[in-house]
Amino acid sequence: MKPNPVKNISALDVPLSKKLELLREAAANPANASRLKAWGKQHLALHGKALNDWTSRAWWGLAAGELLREHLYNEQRRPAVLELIDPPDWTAINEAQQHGGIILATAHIGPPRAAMNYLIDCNLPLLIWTNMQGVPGWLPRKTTAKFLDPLFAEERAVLLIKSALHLRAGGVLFGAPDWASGTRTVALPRLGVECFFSLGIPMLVRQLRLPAFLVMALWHGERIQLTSIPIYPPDFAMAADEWNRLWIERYWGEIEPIIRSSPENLRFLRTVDGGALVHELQL
Amino acid sequence: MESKHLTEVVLTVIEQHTLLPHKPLHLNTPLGADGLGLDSLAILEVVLELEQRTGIHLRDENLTAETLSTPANLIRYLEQSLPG
Repeated sequence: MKPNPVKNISALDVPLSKKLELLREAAANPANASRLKAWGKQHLALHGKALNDWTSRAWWGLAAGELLREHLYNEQRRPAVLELIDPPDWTAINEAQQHGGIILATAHIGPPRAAMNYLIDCNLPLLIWTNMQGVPGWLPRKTTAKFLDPLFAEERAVLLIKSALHLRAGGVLFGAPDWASGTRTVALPRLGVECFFSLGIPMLVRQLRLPAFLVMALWHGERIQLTSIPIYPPDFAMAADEWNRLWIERYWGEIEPIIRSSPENLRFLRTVDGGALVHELQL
Repeated sequence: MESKHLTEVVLTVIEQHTLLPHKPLHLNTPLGADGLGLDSLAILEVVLELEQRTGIHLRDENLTAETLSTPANLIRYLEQSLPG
């Protein structure tokens, strides 16, 4: 296995934008990329130059994501990440919020935790579902946002009910349905594997009849753009199981084209391949 | 709402949502996997329906996993959410 160049680049005393450029250079001949290449071959049927190009771009995305994650953990370095994010047009979200609670459904795609950190600084009445192991201890003290960890099975009902109360009080909920937790999930066959989705978010949308948006931070070159796409609810007269499945299909339907066409934004978490490619690049 | 009526409503709603209808339902029957088999999504449905039926606006200060563990604890939680 080749040495991990991300670590060396991260340690350089240069601006974050320069580090991202240096990662592009390293990505031309990516270290430890054999599993990544195998994934592109198997799931996207890529070969030859197309596979090599795809591997370089996917490698850059993973490496840049880890670089950003490291910066977001550091209170002094965190602003440099937020400066990479282009201000989004969130007119639709702001309008929806005038009428009460809204749900921002995200996905494990694009630079990790960029959207969450952007939202934290927006001074919204925000409740975030996240693995608290990925939140530095100082961050909750700097924000009015509240955090709940969906990984604790025994607390999951509490999380759902607290979220419902927060939403009904006009709050904003940010969470990712593409990380299957809980006993009931929806499975969709995609890219030759079964992808599992949690039902907590669609259930809250359905129970509370609230507007929901897919919100993602995505790489566009070496900048980050926040997308917001309304997820229109299926007919509420449908049976719950059918409704939940259709809502997840609408949500995932917006994400799957990104997986197919934008290798920089792949994270390869268990939703997509069950692997742990990113571990090879972790800082 | 009278305490006896609240108990009846809670037990009725839980019974409607249980995945194991043959299990005996008492005030201290566990709601989760070790009892009636309600998962977190079912408990959310139960609680929101109880709120709708009773008109009690729930508060989150007293809400814990223990609160949601049995019908008796759920009733106590609903009572604590009543305006003082």
